[in-house]
Amino acid sequence: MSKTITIEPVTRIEGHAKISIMLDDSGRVVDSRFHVTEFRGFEKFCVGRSFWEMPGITARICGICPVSHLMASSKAGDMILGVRTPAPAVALRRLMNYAQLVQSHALSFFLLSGPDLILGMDADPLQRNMAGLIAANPDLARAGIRMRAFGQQLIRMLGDRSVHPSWAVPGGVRKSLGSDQRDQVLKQLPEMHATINIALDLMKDIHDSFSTEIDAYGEFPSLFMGLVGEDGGLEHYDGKLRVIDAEGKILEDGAAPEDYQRLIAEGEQKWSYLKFPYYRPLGPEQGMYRVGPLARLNVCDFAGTPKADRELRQFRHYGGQGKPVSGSFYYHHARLIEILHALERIEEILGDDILIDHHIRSQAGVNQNIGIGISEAPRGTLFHHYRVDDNGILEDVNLIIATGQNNLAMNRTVRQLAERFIRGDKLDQGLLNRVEHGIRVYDPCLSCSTHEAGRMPLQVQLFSARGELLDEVKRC
Amino acid sequence: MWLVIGYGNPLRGDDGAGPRLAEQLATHVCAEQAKIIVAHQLTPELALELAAPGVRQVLFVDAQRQQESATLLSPIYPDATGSCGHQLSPQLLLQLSKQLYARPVPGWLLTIAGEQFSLSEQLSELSRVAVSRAFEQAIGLMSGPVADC
Repeated sequence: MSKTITIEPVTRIEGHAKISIMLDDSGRVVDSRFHVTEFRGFEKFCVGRSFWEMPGITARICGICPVSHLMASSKAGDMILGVRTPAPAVALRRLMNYAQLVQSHALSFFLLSGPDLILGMDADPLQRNMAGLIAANPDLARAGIRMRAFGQQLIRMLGDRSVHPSWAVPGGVRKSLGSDQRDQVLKQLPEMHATINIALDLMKDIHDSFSTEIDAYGEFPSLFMGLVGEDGGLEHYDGKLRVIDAEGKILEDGAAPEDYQRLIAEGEQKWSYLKFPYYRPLGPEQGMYRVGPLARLNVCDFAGTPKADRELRQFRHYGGQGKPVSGSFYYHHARLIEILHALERIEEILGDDILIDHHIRSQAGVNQNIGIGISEAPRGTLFHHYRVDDNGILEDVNLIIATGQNNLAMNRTVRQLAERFIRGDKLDQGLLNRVEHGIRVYDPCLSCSTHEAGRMPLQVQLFSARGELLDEVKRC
Repeated sequence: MWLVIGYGNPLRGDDGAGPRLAEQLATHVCAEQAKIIVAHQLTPELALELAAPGVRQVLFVDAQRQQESATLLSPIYPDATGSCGHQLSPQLLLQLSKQLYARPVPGWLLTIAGEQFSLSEQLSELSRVAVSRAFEQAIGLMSGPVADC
């Protein structure tokens, strides 16, 4: 009798989702699906509003990475204005984007994936959580919280608040950074460097302890996409799109934001609200690509900061023979290298006299009817595409979110884990933990918006082909 | 000093009740009496706010679906098993403050009834009335003696 195992919802990710795994009569995995069961509708909701409002509105897509939407939306607005954004404003936007990277990656590594990585996949689910992590390694938990607070504080300094700052606007930013604030941030950098060094050492130990199963977490050939700078360096705010294949061969380079629709097509499935983007020239089967920290480290030629470059050179050994690193478990490690890089960049920007310049915003009206803004969010490349009328009223909005672009890879990862660890119809917690972690390595952000108290239980249901409930497990 | 954290998404209708109440409180209480924080959701670094010197009690304000009474005010206690992810439970935040920073802060949860959580910047009539009532309750609570932990 064929059966379906459902994991609902997946915990310690942003938003609501469930996983279904279909087994055939012999208990063999025949299919798996990562469903996103939450519908948001922002693209329709925004039509009819002014593009000037978009940074503030779209930042509310998410409470975890609002800055990313602020960046992409402001850049789309820059294009509509047709102005050159002042260099100090660009430096300040970069600063906030790096702060965002630090806080988001710190949350992912130290506090969301930390329990799995430190306590192990076979730990009791009642212990394999933040409280368990605190009990096992309180110093690490404290350091993670401090690092997250550091990033949030810098965002708050710039944008007056850390969640949904309406600070970046079409043409620039609203305010600069005071010298006392700059000193306050600089003073904390040594502590943040010490923390990331500890985490990088820890990550190498984690690789050893997970050595027998790392290859089950999304180890497969795929394309990778991300922004790179004009010189091919690691880039998070601007630059051009690059796509490489599983062998490391560059398929696209120097693609401008306006070219994105030539590169990306958006597939759909009836069973999920999340889109299924793929690399258009290769089609949905061959065009699966990954974005985010792992992809960015794979597509860039170098990091461009000394400490991150040293780590990147070591990291590339995991790929071997000039190939990209292809296992999604290495997203964790890539996040840490990106935090290190962001800390170095934050120090550079804070030491740059350009921040003293008070010309931080260019003024203009609607000069173009199309605006496309691309930036690298913590989870990957983010696209905002607007069409406006001559008064700046939005007629069409298209948003391609990083998590959506990893959708095909997440589904493939669930399948891979299920094939490796599920035998028969027995629901084993360690096995389910691994499947959940296979999603969590991507740190997906499904954007919860409504969050009344107590709505995140884990429910696992086992169904027969006829829809009979055979087994059920619940946990908080 | 009280710490008040009103949380929710103001673009999701009644989910914005917590932030709405926190904003109203911010205009009525002095800085020495309470620190007011408006948040989208409860995140781990808020534990540092709970553990900050001077914080004697904390009041969490959230929206609640399917709540019979307009408002519900309850003492809450540190609990390690609560929601744990991008958004934490208030009980887990109390636990973080206690366990990581040795600051066991007495906590209260004030929930405001809501019925409409789809895309909207407006509160429903039910929630709007409940926010007014919650405001009086919060002011009354903060005027009382400081509880022992």
